Amino acid sequence: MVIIESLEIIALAIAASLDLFAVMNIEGAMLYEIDKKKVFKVSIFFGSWMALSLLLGNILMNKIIDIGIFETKISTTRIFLSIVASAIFLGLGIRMFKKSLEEDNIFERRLESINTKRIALLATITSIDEFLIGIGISLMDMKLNTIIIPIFVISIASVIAGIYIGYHFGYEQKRKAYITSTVILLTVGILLVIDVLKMIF
Amino acid sequence: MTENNKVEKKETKFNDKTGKWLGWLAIIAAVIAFFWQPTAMSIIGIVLGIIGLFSPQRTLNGIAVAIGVIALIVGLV
Repeated sequence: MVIIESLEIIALAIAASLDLFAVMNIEGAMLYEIDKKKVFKVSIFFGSWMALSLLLGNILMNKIIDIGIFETKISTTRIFLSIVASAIFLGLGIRMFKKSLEEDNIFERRLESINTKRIALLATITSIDEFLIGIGISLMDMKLNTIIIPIFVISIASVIAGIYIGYHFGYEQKRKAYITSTVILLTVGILLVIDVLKMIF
Repeated sequence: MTENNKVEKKETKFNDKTGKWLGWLAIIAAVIAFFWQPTAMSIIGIVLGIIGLFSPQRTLNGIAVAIGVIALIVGLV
Protein backbone atom coordinates (compact mmCIF):
# COMPACT_ATOMS: atom_id res chain seq x y z
CA MET A 1 0.00 0.00 0.00
CA VAL A 2 1.27 3.39 -0.94
CA ILE A 3 2.14 5.45 2.10
CA ILE A 4 0.55 8.81 1.56
CA GLU A 5 2.94 11.51 2.63
CA SER A 6 2.04 15.08 3.40
CA LEU A 7 2.94 16.22 -0.13
CA GLU A 8 0.54 13.66 -1.60
CA ILE A 9 -2.18 14.70 0.84
CA ILE A 10 -1.86 18.32 -0.27
CA ALA A 11 -1.74 17.22 -3.93
CA LEU A 12 -4.98 15.23 -3.49
CA ALA A 13 -6.64 18.14 -1.69
CA ILE A 14 -5.60 20.47 -4.52
CA ALA A 15 -6.82 18.02 -7.18
CA ALA A 16 -10.19 17.77 -5.46
CA SER A 17 -10.49 21.54 -5.14
CA LEU A 18 -9.44 22.39 -8.69
CA ASP A 19 -12.81 21.28 -10.03
CA LEU A 20 -14.31 23.82 -7.68
CA PHE A 21 -11.82 26.43 -8.91
CA ALA A 22 -12.87 25.81 -12.52
CA VAL A 23 -16.57 26.09 -11.69
CA MET A 24 -16.09 29.29 -9.70
CA ASN A 25 -13.83 30.63 -12.47
CA ILE A 26 -16.81 30.51 -14.83
CA GLU A 27 -19.04 32.08 -12.14
CA GLY A 28 -16.50 34.88 -11.65
CA ALA A 29 -16.30 35.54 -15.40
CA MET A 30 -20.09 35.92 -15.56
CA LEU A 31 -20.32 38.41 -12.68
CA TYR A 32 -20.96 42.07 -13.33
CA GLU A 33 -19.34 43.05 -10.03
CA ILE A 34 -17.95 41.22 -7.01
CA ASP A 35 -19.65 41.39 -3.62
CA LYS A 36 -16.82 40.56 -1.18
CA LYS A 37 -19.16 39.54 1.66
CA LYS A 38 -21.04 37.16 -0.61
CA VAL A 39 -17.78 35.67 -1.94
CA PHE A 40 -16.63 35.09 1.65
CA LYS A 41 -19.95 33.42 2.58
CA VAL A 42 -19.91 31.25 -0.56
CA SER A 43 -16.30 30.19 0.09
CA ILE A 44 -17.08 29.17 3.68
CA PHE A 45 -20.18 27.29 2.45
CA PHE A 46 -18.19 25.46 -0.23
CA GLY A 47 -15.29 24.70 2.14
CA SER A 48 -17.66 23.19 4.71
CA TRP A 49 -19.70 21.35 2.05
CA MET A 50 -16.59 19.82 0.47
CA ALA A 51 -15.20 18.75 3.86
CA LEU A 52 -18.60 17.26 4.76
CA SER A 53 -18.80 15.34 1.46
CA LEU A 54 -15.31 13.95 2.03
CA LEU A 55 -16.26 13.01 5.59
CA LEU A 56 -19.45 11.27 4.42
CA GLY A 57 -17.58 9.25 1.79
CA ASN A 58 -14.98 8.26 4.36
CA ILE A 59 -17.52 7.34 7.07
CA LEU A 60 -19.60 5.31 4.61
CA MET A 61 -16.62 3.27 3.46
CA ASN A 62 -15.30 2.76 7.00
CA LYS A 63 -18.77 1.52 8.08
CA ILE A 64 -18.78 -1.00 5.22
CA ILE A 65 -15.30 -2.16 6.26
CA ASP A 66 -16.40 -2.36 9.95
CA ILE A 67 -19.50 -4.41 9.09
CA GLY A 68 -17.10 -7.00 7.74
CA ILE A 69 -17.98 -6.96 4.07
CA PHE A 70 -14.27 -6.42 3.52
CA GLU A 71 -11.78 -8.06 5.86
CA THR A 72 -8.94 -5.59 5.50
CA LYS A 73 -6.26 -7.83 6.97
CA ILE A 74 -6.54 -10.41 4.21
CA SER A 75 -4.04 -9.56 1.49
CA THR A 76 -6.38 -10.45 -1.41
CA THR A 77 -9.02 -8.12 -0.01
CA ARG A 78 -6.44 -5.39 0.41
CA ILE A 79 -5.50 -5.86 -3.23
CA PHE A 80 -9.18 -5.58 -4.16
CA LEU A 81 -9.59 -2.40 -2.09
CA SER A 82 -6.50 -0.91 -3.73
CA ILE A 83 -7.92 -1.73 -7.17
CA VAL A 84 -11.21 0.01 -6.25
CA ALA A 85 -9.29 3.05 -4.93
CA SER A 86 -7.15 3.22 -8.09
CA ALA A 87 -10.28 2.88 -10.27
CA ILE A 88 -11.85 5.83 -8.41
CA PHE A 89 -8.80 8.06 -8.90
CA LEU A 90 -8.27 7.00 -12.53
CA GLY A 91 -11.98 7.54 -13.26
CA LEU A 92 -11.94 10.99 -11.71
CA GLY A 93 -8.72 11.82 -13.61
CA ILE A 94 -10.28 10.82 -16.94
CA ARG A 95 -13.40 12.84 -16.08
CA MET A 96 -11.24 15.91 -15.40
CA PHE A 97 -9.37 15.33 -18.66
CA LYS A 98 -12.65 15.23 -20.60
CA LYS A 99 -13.67 18.46 -18.89
CA SER A 100 -10.36 20.06 -19.88
CA LEU A 101 -11.13 19.30 -23.54
CA GLU A 102 -14.53 20.98 -23.32
CA GLU A 103 -14.66 24.55 -24.48
CA ASP A 104 -17.34 26.74 -22.96
CA ASN A 105 -18.75 29.74 -24.73
CA ILE A 106 -19.77 32.03 -21.94
CA PHE A 107 -21.44 35.38 -22.09
CA GLU A 108 -19.30 37.26 -19.57
CA ARG A 109 -20.47 40.00 -17.17
CA ARG A 110 -24.14 38.96 -17.33
CA LEU A 111 -24.93 38.19 -13.69
CA GLU A 112 -25.60 40.99 -11.24
CA SER A 113 -24.52 38.88 -8.25
CA ILE A 114 -23.88 35.27 -7.21
CA ASN A 115 -27.08 33.26 -7.55
CA THR A 116 -27.66 31.24 -4.36
CA LYS A 117 -29.76 28.51 -6.04
CA ARG A 118 -27.18 28.06 -8.78
CA ILE A 119 -24.38 27.91 -6.16
CA ALA A 120 -26.24 25.21 -4.20
CA LEU A 121 -26.60 23.15 -7.38
CA LEU A 122 -22.90 23.60 -8.22
CA ALA A 123 -21.94 22.58 -4.68
CA THR A 124 -23.94 19.37 -5.01
CA ILE A 125 -22.37 18.50 -8.37
CA THR A 126 -18.76 19.24 -7.36
CA SER A 127 -19.13 17.47 -4.01
CA ILE A 128 -19.62 14.14 -5.83
CA ASP A 129 -15.87 14.17 -6.61
CA GLU A 130 -15.11 14.91 -2.97
CA PHE A 131 -17.39 12.06 -1.85
CA LEU A 132 -15.56 9.63 -4.16
CA ILE A 133 -12.16 10.87 -2.98
CA GLY A 134 -13.39 10.28 0.60
CA ILE A 135 -14.13 6.67 -0.32
CA GLY A 136 -10.77 6.41 -2.10
CA ILE A 137 -8.69 7.65 0.82
CA SER A 138 -10.53 5.41 3.29
CA LEU A 139 -9.54 2.46 1.09
CA MET A 140 -5.94 3.64 1.25
CA ASP A 141 -5.70 3.41 5.06
CA MET A 142 -5.28 7.15 5.26
CA LYS A 143 -6.34 9.07 8.35
CA LEU A 144 -9.16 11.48 7.61
CA ASN A 145 -7.92 14.26 9.91
CA THR A 146 -4.80 14.58 7.77
CA ILE A 147 -6.82 15.60 4.71
CA ILE A 148 -10.00 17.23 6.03
CA ILE A 149 -8.31 20.50 7.09
CA PRO A 150 -6.31 20.86 3.83
CA ILE A 151 -9.56 20.21 1.86
CA PHE A 152 -11.44 22.84 3.88
CA VAL A 153 -8.71 25.47 3.53
CA ILE A 154 -7.89 24.74 -0.14
CA SER A 155 -11.62 24.69 -1.08
CA ILE A 156 -12.06 28.16 0.43
CA ALA A 157 -8.94 29.38 -1.40
CA SER A 158 -10.18 27.78 -4.66
CA VAL A 159 -13.55 29.54 -4.49
CA ILE A 160 -12.02 32.96 -3.78
CA ALA A 161 -9.22 32.53 -6.36
CA GLY A 162 -11.66 31.09 -8.94
CA ILE A 163 -14.11 33.99 -8.67
CA TYR A 164 -11.45 36.72 -8.67
CA ILE A 165 -9.35 35.17 -11.47
CA GLY A 166 -12.52 34.58 -13.52
CA TYR A 167 -13.66 38.16 -12.93
CA HIS A 168 -10.31 39.75 -13.85
CA PHE A 169 -8.82 37.35 -16.42
CA GLY A 170 -11.83 35.46 -17.82
CA TYR A 171 -12.87 31.82 -17.73
CA GLU A 172 -10.01 30.41 -19.87
CA GLN A 173 -7.95 29.66 -16.71
CA LYS A 174 -10.25 26.75 -15.87
CA ARG A 175 -8.53 24.56 -18.47
CA LYS A 176 -5.21 24.81 -16.58
CA ALA A 177 -7.01 23.83 -13.38
CA TYR A 178 -8.55 20.77 -15.05
CA ILE A 179 -5.18 19.69 -16.55
CA THR A 180 -3.45 20.00 -13.15
CA SER A 181 -6.24 18.02 -11.52
CA THR A 182 -6.01 15.34 -14.24
CA VAL A 183 -2.24 14.96 -13.74
CA ILE A 184 -2.55 14.62 -9.94
CA LEU A 185 -5.49 12.17 -9.97
CA LEU A 186 -4.06 9.99 -12.76
CA THR A 187 -0.63 9.93 -11.06
CA VAL A 188 -2.16 8.79 -7.75
CA GLY A 189 -4.29 6.22 -9.61
CA ILE A 190 -1.33 4.81 -11.58
CA LEU A 191 0.86 4.73 -8.43
CA LEU A 192 -1.85 2.62 -6.79
CA VAL A 193 -1.97 0.30 -9.80
CA ILE A 194 1.83 -0.15 -9.58
CA ASP A 195 1.42 -0.81 -5.86
CA VAL A 196 -1.20 -3.48 -6.57
CA LEU A 197 1.10 -5.10 -9.13
CA LYS A 198 3.92 -5.11 -6.54
CA MET A 199 1.57 -6.81 -4.04
CA ILE A 200 0.58 -9.46 -6.58
CA PHE A 201 4.06 -10.26 -7.88
CA MET B 1 -31.03 35.99 -20.65
CA THR B 2 -31.95 32.55 -19.42
CA GLU B 3 -29.65 30.27 -17.41
CA ASN B 4 -29.56 27.74 -20.24
CA ASN B 5 -27.83 29.86 -22.85
CA LYS B 6 -25.01 31.20 -20.67
CA VAL B 7 -22.72 28.19 -21.11
CA GLU B 8 -22.42 26.39 -24.41
CA LYS B 9 -20.06 23.41 -24.45
CA LYS B 10 -18.10 21.95 -27.36
CA GLU B 11 -15.12 19.60 -27.36
CA THR B 12 -11.82 20.92 -28.76
CA LYS B 13 -8.13 20.02 -28.82
CA PHE B 14 -5.48 21.96 -26.94
CA ASN B 15 -3.76 24.75 -28.84
CA ASP B 16 -0.12 24.84 -29.94
CA LYS B 17 1.05 26.94 -26.97
CA THR B 18 -0.57 24.59 -24.43
CA GLY B 19 0.99 21.64 -26.26
CA LYS B 20 4.47 23.18 -26.00
CA TRP B 21 4.03 23.90 -22.27
CA LEU B 22 2.76 20.39 -21.60
CA GLY B 23 5.56 18.82 -23.67
CA TRP B 24 8.39 20.69 -21.98
CA LEU B 25 6.93 20.19 -18.50
CA ALA B 26 6.60 16.48 -19.29
CA ILE B 27 10.22 16.28 -20.46
CA ILE B 28 11.44 18.11 -17.32
CA ALA B 29 9.42 15.75 -15.07
CA ALA B 30 10.67 12.69 -16.97
CA VAL B 31 14.33 13.81 -16.74
CA ILE B 32 13.98 14.55 -13.00
CA ALA B 33 12.64 10.97 -12.67
CA PHE B 34 16.12 9.63 -13.46
CA PHE B 35 17.47 11.27 -10.29
CA TRP B 36 14.58 11.76 -7.83
CA GLN B 37 11.30 9.92 -7.11
CA PRO B 38 11.54 7.80 -10.29
CA THR B 39 8.05 6.26 -10.20
CA ALA B 40 6.00 9.35 -9.35
CA MET B 41 7.95 11.78 -11.54
CA SER B 42 8.02 9.48 -14.56
CA ILE B 43 4.25 8.93 -14.28
CA ILE B 44 3.73 12.71 -14.08
CA GLY B 45 5.88 13.04 -17.21
CA ILE B 46 3.96 10.33 -19.05
CA VAL B 47 0.54 11.75 -18.08
CA LEU B 48 1.55 15.29 -19.10
CA GLY B 49 2.93 13.93 -22.38
CA ILE B 50 -0.22 11.95 -23.12
CA ILE B 51 -2.39 15.03 -22.43
CA GLY B 52 -0.07 17.01 -24.72
CA LEU B 53 -0.67 14.50 -27.52
CA PHE B 54 -4.12 16.09 -27.83
CA SER B 55 -2.42 19.22 -29.18
CA PRO B 56 -0.62 19.91 -32.49
CA GLN B 57 2.74 19.37 -30.67
CA ARG B 58 2.61 15.59 -31.08
CA THR B 59 6.37 15.04 -31.66
CA LEU B 60 7.48 16.96 -28.57
CA ASN B 61 4.93 15.21 -26.38
CA GLY B 62 5.71 11.84 -27.96
CA ILE B 63 9.38 12.32 -27.00
CA ALA B 64 8.29 13.27 -23.47
CA VAL B 65 6.20 10.09 -23.16
CA ALA B 66 9.12 7.99 -24.44
CA ILE B 67 11.56 9.53 -21.91
CA GLY B 68 8.94 9.04 -19.17
CA VAL B 69 8.47 5.37 -20.05
CA ILE B 70 12.26 4.79 -20.07
CA ALA B 71 12.58 6.57 -16.69
CA LEU B 72 9.74 4.45 -15.29
CA ILE B 73 11.32 1.20 -16.46
CA VAL B 74 14.74 2.27 -15.09
CA GLY B 75 13.07 3.27 -11.82
CA LEU B 76 11.13 0.05 -11.41
CA VAL B 77 13.94 -2.34 -12.35
